[in-house]
Amino acid sequence: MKNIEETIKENFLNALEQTDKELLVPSLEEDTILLESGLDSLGFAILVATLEEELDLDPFQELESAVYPKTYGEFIKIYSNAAK
Amino acid sequence: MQPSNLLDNILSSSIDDKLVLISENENSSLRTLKEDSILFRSRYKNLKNSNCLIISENSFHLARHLIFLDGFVSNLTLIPTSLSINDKYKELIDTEKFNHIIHILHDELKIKKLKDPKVNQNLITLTKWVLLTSGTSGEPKALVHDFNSLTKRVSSKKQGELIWGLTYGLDRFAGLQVFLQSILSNQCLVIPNHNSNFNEQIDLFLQNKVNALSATPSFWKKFLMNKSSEGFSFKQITLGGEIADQMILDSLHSKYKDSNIFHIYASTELGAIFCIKDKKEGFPKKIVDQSSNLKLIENELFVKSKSKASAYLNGTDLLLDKQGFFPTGDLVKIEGERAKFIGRKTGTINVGGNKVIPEEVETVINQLEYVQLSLVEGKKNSILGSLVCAKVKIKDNVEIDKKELKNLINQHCKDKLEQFKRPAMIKFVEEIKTNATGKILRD
Repeated sequence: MKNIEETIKENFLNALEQTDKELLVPSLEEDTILLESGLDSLGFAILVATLEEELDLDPFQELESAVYPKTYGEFIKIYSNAAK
Repeated sequence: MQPSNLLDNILSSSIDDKLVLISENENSSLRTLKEDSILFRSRYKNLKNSNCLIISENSFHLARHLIFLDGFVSNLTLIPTSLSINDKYKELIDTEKFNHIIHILHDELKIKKLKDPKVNQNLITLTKWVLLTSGTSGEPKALVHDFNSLTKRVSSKKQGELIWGLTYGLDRFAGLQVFLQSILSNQCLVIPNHNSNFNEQIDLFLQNKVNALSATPSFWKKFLMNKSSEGFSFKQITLGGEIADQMILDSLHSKYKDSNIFHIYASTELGAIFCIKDKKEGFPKKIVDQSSNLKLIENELFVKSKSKASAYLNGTDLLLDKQGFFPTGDLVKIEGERAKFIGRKTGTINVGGNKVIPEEVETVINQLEYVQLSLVEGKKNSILGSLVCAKVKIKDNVEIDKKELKNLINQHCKDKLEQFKRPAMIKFVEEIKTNATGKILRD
């Protein structure tokens, strides 16, 4: 069974493809800045939507408005925390 | 002067034994309709001038009774059979002062008297027809019509050659238009049982050599998938109720080369607004430019129509703007000399501030060979408000890997649509529901 990290990575790359964008870094790392990763806001919205379908989880719905992940690592953390 | 009721109109033509109403187990000629009307009115004298509520489970019998009752009762209110009497409608009904409730069942008629009609022995000349509808906004409404407003767009040239199939409920405006068109022109109408399925309906039409059919584009798409569609030779094809795109018009034309193909723009509130006969989608822009009854405001079509229903039953007027125009809720875009319908205003999906009209995306998806029908909806999204989601029904008898089809759909949408309009998610479904008039059911 896939773990959350793998799921997120897979969907991240799919969201990039679906929005016709390229990954702008050699690989997705913990410290990859999301805004520089190549994913735009539409891709981001699609990512969150597909993750919600697959994981049954949308931490952004419950989050306080000011909390946005800056890095890929923070993004993963939000989901792994929510999954607990 | 033309008589303003069904029976007198029928009587003004030559009465013979040609069948004009055909159902699976029964039929009527003009002669039987004439005789039965006389019998009915003498048997049910107490219905004279009555304000009647009609609940019908059988369209064939309803058609006959509309002929008996129009010009005899003061009001007839039709409840769509597909509607159970839920609270909203109950409210509407309770406020009306009905004299009689007429229940038309398959093999009997039940009449319940609530109170006596006003004593007025003069024969009613113009019966009020009240249609209950969800209209353009989904809120139940009652619209008041009469014979004149209902037949405004009905051509009564006696062209006996057409045999119509009824695809709409007879309690709805579209169904009434087909019924009135056929009966007033001495044509024949084939009426399926309400519980027959799609294939049974088509078979009944085929058996009776139906050569004229008015239906929604969704119905026509389904029809073309049915192998019985091979057996028809249409003379008249009419589309209405949904946007008729070029693809369905072309498909129908290539299959039925000898047929007229009309698409009608109409609404229950306003009646028929215009009818396009050139087999092209949309309508000539000059129709709006040259008409004092049509205007476009922010891409929405506004109509001032003389044939509009006179008022909502509970007394409120149709929502007219200061110059008497009614907002149709239909969005239009101009392409050169042509105006094209792009969708309903209320269905608009807002993707991060960008507006997406579901019908526009559906039209694109439906262009793919493997797709029978699609339904596009907004899905709530915590990042952008909404995202575009598509439910897709694959054509029957077609083998394709779902993943492959998803890719095809995505690629096709990339070619044709701006990014935010492309479906973020695609789901394959077994069925996309249509309502009693054949329109796609949207939440």
